[in-house]
Amino acid sequence: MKTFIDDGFRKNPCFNVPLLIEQLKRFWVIPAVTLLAYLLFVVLMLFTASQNSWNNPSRIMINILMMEHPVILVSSVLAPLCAAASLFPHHYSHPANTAFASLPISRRQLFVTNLAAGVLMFVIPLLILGLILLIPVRLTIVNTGWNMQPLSQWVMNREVFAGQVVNTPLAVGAFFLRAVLTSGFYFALGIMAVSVVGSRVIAGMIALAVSFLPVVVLGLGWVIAEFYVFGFSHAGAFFTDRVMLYMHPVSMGVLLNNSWRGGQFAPAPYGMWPFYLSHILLTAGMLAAGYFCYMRRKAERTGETVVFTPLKNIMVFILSLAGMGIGGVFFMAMFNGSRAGYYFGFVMGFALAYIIAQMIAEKSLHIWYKIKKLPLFGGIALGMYIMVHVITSGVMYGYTTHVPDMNNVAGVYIGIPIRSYSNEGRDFTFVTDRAVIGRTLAIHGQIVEERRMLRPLNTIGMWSSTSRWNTMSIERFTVTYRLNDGKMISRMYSLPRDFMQRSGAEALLREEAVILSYYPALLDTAFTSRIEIFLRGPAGQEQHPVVVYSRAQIESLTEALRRDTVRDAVNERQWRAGEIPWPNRDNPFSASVNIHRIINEDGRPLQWNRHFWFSEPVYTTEWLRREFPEIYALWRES
Amino acid sequence: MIEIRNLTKAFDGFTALNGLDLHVKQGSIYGMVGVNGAGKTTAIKHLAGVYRQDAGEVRIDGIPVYDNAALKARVGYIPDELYFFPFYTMGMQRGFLRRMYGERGKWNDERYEKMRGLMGLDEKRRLGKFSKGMQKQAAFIFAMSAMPDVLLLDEPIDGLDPIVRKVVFELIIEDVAQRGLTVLISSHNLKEMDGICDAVGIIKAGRMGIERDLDDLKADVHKIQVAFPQENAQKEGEATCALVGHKFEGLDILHHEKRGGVELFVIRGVHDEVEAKIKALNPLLYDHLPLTLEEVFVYENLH
Repeated sequence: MKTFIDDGFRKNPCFNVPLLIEQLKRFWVIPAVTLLAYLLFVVLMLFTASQNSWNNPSRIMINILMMEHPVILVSSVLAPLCAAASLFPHHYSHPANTAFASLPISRRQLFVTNLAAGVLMFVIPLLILGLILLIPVRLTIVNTGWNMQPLSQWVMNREVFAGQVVNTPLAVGAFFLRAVLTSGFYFALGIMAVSVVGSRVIAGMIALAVSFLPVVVLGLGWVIAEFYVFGFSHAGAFFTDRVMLYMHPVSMGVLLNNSWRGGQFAPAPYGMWPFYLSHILLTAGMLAAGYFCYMRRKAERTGETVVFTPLKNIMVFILSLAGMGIGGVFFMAMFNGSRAGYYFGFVMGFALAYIIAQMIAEKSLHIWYKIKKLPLFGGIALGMYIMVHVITSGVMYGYTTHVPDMNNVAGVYIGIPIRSYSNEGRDFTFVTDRAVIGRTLAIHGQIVEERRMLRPLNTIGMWSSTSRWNTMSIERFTVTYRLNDGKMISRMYSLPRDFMQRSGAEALLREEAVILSYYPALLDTAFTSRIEIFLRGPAGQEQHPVVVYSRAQIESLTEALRRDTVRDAVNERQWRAGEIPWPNRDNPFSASVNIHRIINEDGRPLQWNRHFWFSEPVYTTEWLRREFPEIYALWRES
Repeated sequence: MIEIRNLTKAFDGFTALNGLDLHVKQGSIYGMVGVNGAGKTTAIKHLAGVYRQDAGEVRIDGIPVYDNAALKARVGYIPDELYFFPFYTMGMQRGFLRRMYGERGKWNDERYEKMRGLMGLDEKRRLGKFSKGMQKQAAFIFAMSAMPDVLLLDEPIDGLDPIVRKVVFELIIEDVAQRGLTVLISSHNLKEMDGICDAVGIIKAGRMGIERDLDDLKADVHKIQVAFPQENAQKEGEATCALVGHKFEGLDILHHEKRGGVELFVIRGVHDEVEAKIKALNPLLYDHLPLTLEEVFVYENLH
């Protein structure tokens, strides 16, 4: 008897070349549009940018290699999702399903061939872009600054110097691999979505939503916890961002490229491989899940919103939970932070989202027969809510009102909302002065003591914009303890200004030790290898910075910078407290300073730039006049 | 050649096929008939490898069909609802199928050109712009050019004009005769099937009602026209009552109607026995009329 496992099938049981060619021919528009976007908005921009402008070719090249370029980021998400939605029409349409299923290919061949076609659709444009990027080999860095730092850390593994070629084959190769990995991540996500969904629109929505799901779940827990627990733990935001770093390639890029989070995620201590490895594993996992669901889905389920009934219920439940969270926040905001509004919003949001989710799930407006299941879903949600409530108010409540014992605290760090906060490097230090620690603990104790009065403000502060804090005279006060055993406890409170004054928090924030704890570069000069000063006068920035290498000059300049920093910080606190008018920021003679440090961490020498900007560099100016009188004179004469 | 055993398939609690058995001999043309919702399309989709059965066996040449790429290369399938790649011309679709089937040496360009010429279809025109009938013609051309060993046709006549129908069926019959092509046709157009089918299966509620060679099927059901003399009206009435009331052992009356003095019976049974029993009543007129497949289908389903 014939077995009909013919040679063609035996030769290649996973792959079908004719179908691959056909799929590429059918959807050539996806790689073509992607490539066109690269050529028009990336390559053309790169080749036509003026060398003398701020956005010069060197900077654009760095942005591209860092994957900070918006067109590259957007295309890394959209192109693979479009490919995933286009290559599987047999998941949405019964006639297409019949046509594909009756072709002389196995389901596995169909899946793997479509997978390969999709990968080629985003790899080919990226490959062409990568090759083009290698052409301008002499596009160089014309100015170094703090924003070059991430590149030096994770693209080049070192700092970029003026005049240096950045688009080396290695760097471009690294960019290519990262871009492919990011696109692959979203393609796998898209494939997983289309394998469980019978609608392009829903698949797209689910693909985008799923990538944020871990953060949404964390966020929901955080919102509930925040409502019952007094004092926001910084660890929540830290953990959320960490989840994003590991689970979301684009967020990883955004978080790393923008070191505005106090540089906590500067990759140096971790390297990039844990993130890459996590994304590779997630991609493989999503592909495996997609393949499994693809093989399990039944042809007759084609076109259904969710082709697996249990998943349909899960989708409805998750959407209902999301509606509950949104409803809670919305109504709480409407009723000015009222807890009754919060509960009302929960119920309304859950019920409304449940109805909408059922309509989506059943692809019909007639879902009233599903309403009888609403109490069941609501009961599960209520059970979960009560569980979170018990954990947060029972287990965590004691913890969050806990003020550490003085004997257990090794150091304290107090976040200072001053202007340079956003540009700060990751390397803050803890204040170990016992007197400062004692004062901090006393203030923290007072906050906990008066929590009944402070709690409503805390809740409002959490949901308010910074401008509203100002009108409400609310400030955020962040305190982090480093305990003797190395553990850290972090708390953030929204406090009224009068409380800041009478509790001594305001005075504490003006302490030199507290201010300088944020600037280790100013406290310890042992790692400083050089300092650059960029002077700006009415005529613009001086082209040649003052560069200081000698130890003696580094010491004396650091002292001047330290005094300017403290002066600026205190001025800002005074302005916030309404004691002085807004400091003059329009001084024509300003200075930017880079303190270049080489830190040995975990056996690796890490180069680190700390950037300062002073609108009125009083002590630094004095130092310059003393050490470099000619330059000082030129600057002042400009 | 084609064998379905105890095939069961349910969709969300609705049982479309409930232990279906079906057998098609190699080189024959099999007509699958049944009322709407009987399960014909579901059965064909199992044979085409589209559906995975809940239970039972679906085999061609003894090999399970589902997810068997090599076997599917030997099966041509024209579904009820056609699908072509969007924006594809007939020539582009042909190029794709030639590569797909040509890999296994099956595609026949000569046949493609011949059939396209006969049907007068423009290769450069988009398939989406074709009329429904033209799309059906194109589907026939593609399916026949792949030189299948098994051809599955789900409602193939819909939209085809009589001339094209004739061309198509001639080609099918030619392939059956010359290459031993096995054809399974599901259709409501029983008149067409009557002319070409060798065997027929009547599906009722997801199960096989009757499955027989068409000649055998017709030999078992008889359409008989009888009339009795007027003076024997009373007797005639009795005789009719006797027939309708199943008083004659072995006679299974599927249908009875009276047209003036003439009565029409559709009776299932052995021809000679039926004739003997009726003639024993001395009818004035006794005619054995030819029975169409449509009549067999209607009376079998009504009974």
